[in-house]
Amino acid sequence: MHEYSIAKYVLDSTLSSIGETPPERVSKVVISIGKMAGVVPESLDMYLKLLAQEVGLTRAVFEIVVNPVEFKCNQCGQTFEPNKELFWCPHCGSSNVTFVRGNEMAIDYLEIEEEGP
Amino acid sequence: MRNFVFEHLHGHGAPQEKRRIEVGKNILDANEKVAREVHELYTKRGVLLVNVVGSPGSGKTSFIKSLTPHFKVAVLEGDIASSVDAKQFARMGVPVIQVNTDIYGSACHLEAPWVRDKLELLLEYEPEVVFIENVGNLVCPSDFNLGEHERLVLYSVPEGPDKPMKYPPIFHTATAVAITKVDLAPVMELDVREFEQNVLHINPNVRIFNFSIKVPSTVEEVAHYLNDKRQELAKEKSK
Repeated sequence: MHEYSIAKYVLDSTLSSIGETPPERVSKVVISIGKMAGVVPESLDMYLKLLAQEVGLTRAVFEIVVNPVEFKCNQCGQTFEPNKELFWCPHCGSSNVTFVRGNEMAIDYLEIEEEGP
Repeated sequence: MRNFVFEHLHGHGAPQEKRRIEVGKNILDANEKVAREVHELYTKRGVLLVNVVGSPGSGKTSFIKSLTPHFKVAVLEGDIASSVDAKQFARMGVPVIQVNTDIYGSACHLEAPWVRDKLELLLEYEPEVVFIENVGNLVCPSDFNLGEHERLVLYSVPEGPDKPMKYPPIFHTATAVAITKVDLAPVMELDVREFEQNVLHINPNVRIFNFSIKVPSTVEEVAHYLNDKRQELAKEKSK
């Protein structure tokens, strides 16, 4: 249920990124979430839907992109997406691995509808 | 890569020109900023800040209590409700501040902006180590940095050996894992080595402790580790 908190951070950050633009003109918010961020996309969307209305983002579509987890093996140099139960290198079996990405949570970009002529 | 497209309310009327704003910002930037400030303050003061996370009943309170003879300790207690744990520390004469998350929507974790002022206040007691006892939860606290130097995950034997596979983010972000209540392993016919192996499968470099408040040597081992971390901090401070 920490998706509630994360949704609030998304909305605060969206509002601070648009400056003086009225929030109802935001048409799209694109978010990327790593698979290991511990976030349930459907739950995040549910809270975004509920809370967006309260802050004036009444027309925004939220797009959540789920990114894979990536590690690099320090032994054989290959990058890999780990098995769910074992974060060791599937190519050479080494446990000498470095986490590359997969726990990120970011707002990538927003789309704003310009005022008509 | 999967795409979830959730459509809320569509725009009405004629199509309009669209402008794109690149944001490229961590969603939790606001939390991270406060966490960095807390981290810098504690580092500057040479006080070790330890975030203790784990399931409800994993033994977080007992763990912290067992370490109070080894350091001058202060505690920030996080719970959805009640002051049950905080009272225990207060009775022991340990400086403690309770944070109840029922005022933050009964959140299942702590966030840096909610605890910054309390962590600043606890420094007035001139502690050597400040423990944050996070809300009992193996999922939600993993995303929220509180500015800690150490993130200690407590993982108790009665929870069973499969938890690292089921809750990888928290084990992956741990700086150390204490397998608690190891004295129960023989009674439960469980092998602690299996717990250790499963932790290492998710976080191959993490420091693991076998811990029981009933076995003083296991408490001392954790105290030594934290003392080493304090020494490292003192070196960093003097740089």
